[in-house]
Amino acid sequence: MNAIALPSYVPALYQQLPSIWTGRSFSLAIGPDTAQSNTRALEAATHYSSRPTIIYLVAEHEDLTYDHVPLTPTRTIKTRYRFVGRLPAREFPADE
Amino acid sequence: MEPFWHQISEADLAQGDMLPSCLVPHFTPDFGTGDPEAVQEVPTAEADLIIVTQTCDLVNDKVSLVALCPIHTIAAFEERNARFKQKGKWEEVRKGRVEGLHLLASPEAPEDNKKALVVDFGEIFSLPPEYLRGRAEQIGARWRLSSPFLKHFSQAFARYFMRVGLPSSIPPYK
Repeated sequence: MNAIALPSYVPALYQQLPSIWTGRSFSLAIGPDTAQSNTRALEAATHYSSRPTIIYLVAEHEDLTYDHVPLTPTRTIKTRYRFVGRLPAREFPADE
Repeated sequence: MEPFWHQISEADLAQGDMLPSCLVPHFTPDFGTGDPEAVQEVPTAEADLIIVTQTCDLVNDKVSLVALCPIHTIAAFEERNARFKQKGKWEEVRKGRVEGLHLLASPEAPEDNKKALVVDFGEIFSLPPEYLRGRAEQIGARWRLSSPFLKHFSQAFARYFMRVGLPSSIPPYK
């Protein structure tokens, strides 16, 4: 895997990912100016599939998008909403 | 005077949409710390809100929660913050010198500065778009901020969050 010559932008993108995404799969879409062919995208996907995070690079896409990461761990809390009337303005801090 | 707002009646949401009387949950500091089997009470208040999430994110369904800030009448704000009744205080806000507050002309009486509305960027609520679209439908005719006032508002919100406080600064030139 390490023998693959990755485009320079791929490790840079990987480094920018928040640690919360480690172990999750998601998709990255990168612009046509940086991703010039599907071959490169495939190389990147192959390389990073050996890591905890799987990256799918989609070439010729206009912006950087991602799926919303579900909040974890989750637990269910039974709640009851109690209406308390109008929300007053907050006390505005004096030093702001 | 150029109007700040235009009236719309549609369920679609955009940055700068004013949505009166939305329900906002107010989680208390002890929320989630009690018996997990017991029913916990969440106080819920009614607030007038304005959307701060970017329109493009709303249109393209890129957000699962919409960010909104409370928008108050000057009278309601002064009720809780009496020092704003002092002469010159609202002029400071109008000039953008009070971080966190942003004044918008009244939709109905833009010439009357006493009827202006104040947005507090220091409180942000996140509500589901589905709830807000439903609320928009219920309201019917409602107000949407027009450009360039919308862009000015959006920039003020961004500036509030990007501000940096320094531990010291160059002494003033006197």
